[in-house]
Amino acid sequence: MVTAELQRLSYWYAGGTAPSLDNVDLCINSKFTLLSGASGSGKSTLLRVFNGLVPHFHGGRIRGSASVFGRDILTTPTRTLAADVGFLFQDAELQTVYSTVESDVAFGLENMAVPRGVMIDRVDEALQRCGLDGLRRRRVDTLSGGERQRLALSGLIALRPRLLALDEPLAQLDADGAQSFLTTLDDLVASGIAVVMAEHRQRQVLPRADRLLSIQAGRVSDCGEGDRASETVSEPSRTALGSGGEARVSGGGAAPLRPRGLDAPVPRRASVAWQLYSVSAGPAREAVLAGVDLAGHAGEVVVLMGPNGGGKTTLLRTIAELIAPLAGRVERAPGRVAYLPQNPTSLLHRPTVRAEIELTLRRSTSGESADAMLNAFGLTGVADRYPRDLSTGQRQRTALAAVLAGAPRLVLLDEPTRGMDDASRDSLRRCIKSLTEQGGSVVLATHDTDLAASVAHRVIHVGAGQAVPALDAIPVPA
Amino acid sequence: MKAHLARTALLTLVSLPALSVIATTVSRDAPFLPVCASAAWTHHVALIVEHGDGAVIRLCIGFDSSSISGEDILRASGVEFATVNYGSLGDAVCQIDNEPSTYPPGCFSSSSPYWVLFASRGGSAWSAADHGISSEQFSNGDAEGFRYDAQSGSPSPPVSAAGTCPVNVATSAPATATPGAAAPSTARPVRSPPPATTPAAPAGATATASAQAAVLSPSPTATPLAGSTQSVASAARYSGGVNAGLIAAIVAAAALLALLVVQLVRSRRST
Amino acid sequence: MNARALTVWSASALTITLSTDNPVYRGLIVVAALNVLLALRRPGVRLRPLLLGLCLAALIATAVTLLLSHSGAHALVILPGSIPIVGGGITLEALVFGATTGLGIAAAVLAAAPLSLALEAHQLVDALPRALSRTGAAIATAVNLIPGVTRSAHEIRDAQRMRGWRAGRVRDWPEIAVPIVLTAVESSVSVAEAMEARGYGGGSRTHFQLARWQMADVVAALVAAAAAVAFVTLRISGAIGAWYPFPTLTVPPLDPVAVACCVALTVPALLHPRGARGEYFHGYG
Repeated sequence: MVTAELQRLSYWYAGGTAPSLDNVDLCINSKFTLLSGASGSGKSTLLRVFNGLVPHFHGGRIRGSASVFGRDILTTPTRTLAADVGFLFQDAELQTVYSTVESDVAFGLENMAVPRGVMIDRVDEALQRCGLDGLRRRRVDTLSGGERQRLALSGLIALRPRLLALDEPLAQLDADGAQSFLTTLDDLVASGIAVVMAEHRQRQVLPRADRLLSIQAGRVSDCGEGDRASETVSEPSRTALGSGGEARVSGGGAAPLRPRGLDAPVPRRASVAWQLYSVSAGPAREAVLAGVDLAGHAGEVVVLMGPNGGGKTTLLRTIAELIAPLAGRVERAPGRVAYLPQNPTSLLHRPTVRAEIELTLRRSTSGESADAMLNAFGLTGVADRYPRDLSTGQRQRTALAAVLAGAPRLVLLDEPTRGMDDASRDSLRRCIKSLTEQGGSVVLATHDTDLAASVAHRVIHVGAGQAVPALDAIPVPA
Repeated sequence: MKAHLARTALLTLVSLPALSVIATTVSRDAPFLPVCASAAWTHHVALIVEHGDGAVIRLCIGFDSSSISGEDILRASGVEFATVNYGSLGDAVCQIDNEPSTYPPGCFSSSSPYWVLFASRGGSAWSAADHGISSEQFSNGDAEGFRYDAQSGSPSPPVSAAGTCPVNVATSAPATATPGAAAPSTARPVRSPPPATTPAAPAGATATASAQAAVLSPSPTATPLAGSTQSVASAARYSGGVNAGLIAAIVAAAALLALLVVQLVRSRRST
Repeated sequence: MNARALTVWSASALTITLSTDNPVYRGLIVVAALNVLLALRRPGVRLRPLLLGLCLAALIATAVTLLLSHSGAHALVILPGSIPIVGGGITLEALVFGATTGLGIAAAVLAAAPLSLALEAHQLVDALPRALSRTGAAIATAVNLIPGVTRSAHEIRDAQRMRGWRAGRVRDWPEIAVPIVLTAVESSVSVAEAMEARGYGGGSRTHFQLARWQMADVVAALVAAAAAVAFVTLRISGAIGAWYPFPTLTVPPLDPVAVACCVALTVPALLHPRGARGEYFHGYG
């Protein structure tokens, strides 16, 4: 049986003028389909068709036909489709319902009124398949990001679906978390579950896909299968690495990337922008970092890498003087500081993108106009729209523009490329470059090895209570 | 858990003798001497109401005018009472503090008990009043008494009013209890028949003294919350066995506090 | 402890508190409820904020009564009557009455506290009757959102501060408040979408976690209910009367049976000792 079939499907969100899906003709038969496209192109919308969230949850207008495992999506409620199609969202935290692992996995089964005896078996099975058996009684808020995403996955598996739709599941995971998630996914695919995944972090996913789809402005095109697909898609990333990058993008066993900066180090004469003297720091009186001695200079980009929860955010906030160090001293050169938190879209609140940028500009002393920032981040077309209505990537860029406006002297970025597509990453790279050329200093915490490779002068490894320079290479997960 | 309970039981047993000693000492002390609060009132009269079974209500009523009628005293006291008007003779009292529960329209019958009004002028002995409550006037330092008397010979007066209103109340700020003014420690439970004689043992020196001081007066002022009149009446009827309850409460409090401390220590140690 | 059993206990404690105005009984209930709270609270729950808040409330109740009620036989100090409202006698009776009110507040709050501090959110939700099980699931989800919203509130405040926001004029607070609210709303919409994708909505549900009644739960519930019934009976029959400190303070009357009823409320603390740390499931199958 065909997994899913869409015929001339067009969809408009409520109040939208342009269609988010435009005459899509698609037939899914493959085991692992990878969906790629810029943010705002309609990836998430297309995925939500498979379990009926579009149109049943999001409303709007729909035209054409769509069916999954022979069931007509337009007339079947999501509740019925949920038995066959599992949907995984980007944010693991916003998918868990109950506070303990066991209870949360059983949530879907409870909704389907599965008898209790059967439920217990299914929960056991789901926990086993996702490697969570030892964590059965744990509270959900004690799990790491990767574990939480696997928990969400096991909650879906408990219903024994035949198709899994995954909307950027790796976006918020560090290297280890992403790896464990993909390993689990491999087992599930091997057992016969079909997978459709939208993802920006494609380096690890591409080798697993046997079908590649690309979507742009609501139109889907087939990029073929297997190796040929990897060539077409990886072009942009390869050119961006440009000078200094020696990576092979497809397949495993890529050679480590050399930081660009090692070829052109910052001159020693540059003034110190920030310095930490024997600093111990931690969020709530418990030290996550101890004895850190670091300094950053004008015109320099320092990249912090390390596992989630290892202290990267704490270090950034200490430099920004948002939290006082538990021991030691922090010194900073005068000048404006720009700080981008981990969920930057949460600080948007003005009615238009332009207004958001202008708010920051008003408070800074530079005479910059908002247009320059709008141009730099490719937001000129949406300058007068409400930021929270835009796609994820556009919101991300808006938040970046809002925070980076006004020529700050020190820029602190916490996971800026989470969920970002290539175009946005490019804008960010260019912005960082121009900031450093004007003498600003940048500290960047990220998992994104591509970005790190292209901008870093120095890499610091943060974890296990320490922050030490990683002098040689940025490790790339195989 | 067994060790836990055993520990608690042991603590209770140890504290029991110590606490019972304290309890009985406390119960023997005289209570606070009733004092008219709000020394702003310049004048005071005592009100004594003695029920047929011997239960006594003692109140001290404050007023500012030079004299006050018997009926106004009753009204100011907040004690429940009912009257019937006898024209030029004034009002007659048919019922005080719900005794008797019913009465005939004429207020009296030839055979049943009735309320007799007594007056004590300036601390002297009781004498039966000549007038009814509407016309009988009282001034500072007097006492008004009611006794529910069976119609068998001449009515005997109620218990003495001495000590109901302390002497120097108008001038000095009323302090706390002056146990010295209390009489000897012979407890006088509320329901016992009144002694025919001495005006000694004022202030009913039991822990459950029925004597109370009222500050209600005809003119509006800051008064206690509503419902106080009810409790004044019913507070006069304490059941027996109070001391046992007090001991039980002290023992219980000690045991519970001990348990609390044990739990706190355990949780502190395990963190 | 089983959620329904604990609810019976809370209702009993509350009933007894509200049917007496005697400070000794109320005090005993406070200590009993404190014992139960200490014994049953979830690991990691801190009681200090709650206790401090209750002390504050009791102090305020006492102070208000002390200053505003000028009745009572034993004046501690007399303020000149020319001072408005507060002028007049400050009496011992008013102090005791205020303290009794404070004790009542403390007892009532402590009677209800274990429901939120001893139970997991889903225990309470699972204990709801079948008809409300969907509401319960929604409530449990909402409760789970709170830590995330709190965290994002801190983030937002930090980020806006870096953009130049200063806590000062009231006019500036929307810059913090609006993003927090919007983010919270968006988060809840995301969770709602996730719940729908997992089949939530319409039709009947089954339950994975079954709240089991253990012997200790049955005993605790029965004892608490019996104590409440006994106490109310004593009250109605007049065996324990009302007590009022005005106009003269007297020792409140105490009945040993009533005292026993108050002490009986401690039973859950004795029957449910703290298990090994990390044991989160009380009374679950």
